[in-house]
Amino acid sequence: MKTPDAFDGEQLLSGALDPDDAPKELKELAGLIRVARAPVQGTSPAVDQAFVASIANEVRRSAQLGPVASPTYLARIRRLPSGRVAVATTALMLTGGLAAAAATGSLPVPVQRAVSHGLSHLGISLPDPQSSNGARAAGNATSVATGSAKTKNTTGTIGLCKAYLYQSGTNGLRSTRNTATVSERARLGKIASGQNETVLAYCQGLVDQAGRGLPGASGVARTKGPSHSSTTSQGSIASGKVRHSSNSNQGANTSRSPKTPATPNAKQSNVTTNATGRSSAYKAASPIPSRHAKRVRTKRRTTKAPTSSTPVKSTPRSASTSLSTSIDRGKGVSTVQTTL
Amino acid sequence: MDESKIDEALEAARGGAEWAIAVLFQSIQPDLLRFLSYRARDVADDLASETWLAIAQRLPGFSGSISEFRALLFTIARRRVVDHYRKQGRRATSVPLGEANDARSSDDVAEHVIEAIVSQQAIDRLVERLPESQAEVIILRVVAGLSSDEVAKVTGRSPGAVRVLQHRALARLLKEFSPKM
Repeated sequence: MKTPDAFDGEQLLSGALDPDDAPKELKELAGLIRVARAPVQGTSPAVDQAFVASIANEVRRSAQLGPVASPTYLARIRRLPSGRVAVATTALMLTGGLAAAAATGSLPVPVQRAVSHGLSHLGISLPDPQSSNGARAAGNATSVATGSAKTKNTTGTIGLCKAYLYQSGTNGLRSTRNTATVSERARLGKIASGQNETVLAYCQGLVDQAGRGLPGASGVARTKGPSHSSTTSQGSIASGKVRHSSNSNQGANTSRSPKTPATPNAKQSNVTTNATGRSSAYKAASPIPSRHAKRVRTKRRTTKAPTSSTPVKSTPRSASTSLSTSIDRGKGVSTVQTTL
Repeated sequence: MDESKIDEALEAARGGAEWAIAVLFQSIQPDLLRFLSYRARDVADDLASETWLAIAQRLPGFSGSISEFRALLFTIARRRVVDHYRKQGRRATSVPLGEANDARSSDDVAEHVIEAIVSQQAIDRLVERLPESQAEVIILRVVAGLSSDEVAKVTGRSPGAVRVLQHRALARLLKEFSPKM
């Protein structure tokens, strides 16, 4: 059986092929298609005119209205079941972040206290800034041996003070935590005013106290672990002092310890450059061998330095930056000593 | 009707010109009504009106050729048919001849009824032995008067797939309606 070619097919389907002119095998099919294409009885012309007018009105009306305003993105998301899930998930993540902050004791004191107290009824134990348990819980992270709340508070305050002193260019301090936020500075101001001191005087006193290893400064008690780790322990600015002296006496030790004072000021105040706040407390707790610890500290410092806020006096920062750079380039101890 | 005149009418119809819409209506309405009459004879006029009103809302923002306009119009019409039968819980099929006869015989001129019945019968004969996909292509091509490309747009198939379906349908029809030796 012959199949219709494209030309015949198009002619057939469009009704253009007259059955009288069609080949014999296509005559019946062409006739059927012709009949099938016959116009259906139409509506009356009067109705058509009215209908056409109504269509024209509708076109003009739609043109004036313009495109339909779509609802806002959030409104559309809320309408979707999946959108509700997304909103709930976001809320859950925010709540989770709050919980994580509460678990590490990183929330502001009143909030931490409220969260800790509230969740204690549910059998969930979180660090409480007012209780010894809380101090111990927080102390686990900073390896604080003494369990007093004052110790924890002082520890945090020392870190803030160092950041504050570094930021203000005072005392030649260099901290891995270079900045104190506005709220932290306000907190320091509150504490200092409670002691009838200026922030600067209060912080210098506190840091000096810590440097002497007084118990109130909390540094000494936290220096656990191998002896070399004391050179990296945070609060123990006093340990920095010891290390500094060892630096001057032992070249080998110095070569393993690039954490030397960044500025002459640091030397004068007998404070090591790695005397930091909370982050150095982590160093004291971590059993990282000193060489590895140095590498970690170096990386941390070099990544932190560009993000630090501009200090009031640029000298300490520039000195520390040059120190970090020379260490990063692997120039060794001699370079460090030359810089100093 | 002159193709250029229809293109010109389409351009003017976007602004709501009544004469232009009348030209489009006279050009397309017979095919639309034939298509709808085959699919849902009882409500063909209503569905045609709904289709034109729906296309009127899209006309101001429409930018395409007359072929695309026809494809869009028949796409809307096809959906209206589906919606109509969905509401009634029935599947869209052609109207039985007897039912068509009853619907028209009471108030129409006898000649039109006979034409309609004959036309309907012819369509039924054309597609009754075709698979559904091929039957749809033949109906859109013969009854609605669409081109292959327009059928592709209406049915959501590629033009090549439409041509293959059309070729197979014609081969089958030729086999059926050619004189037996």
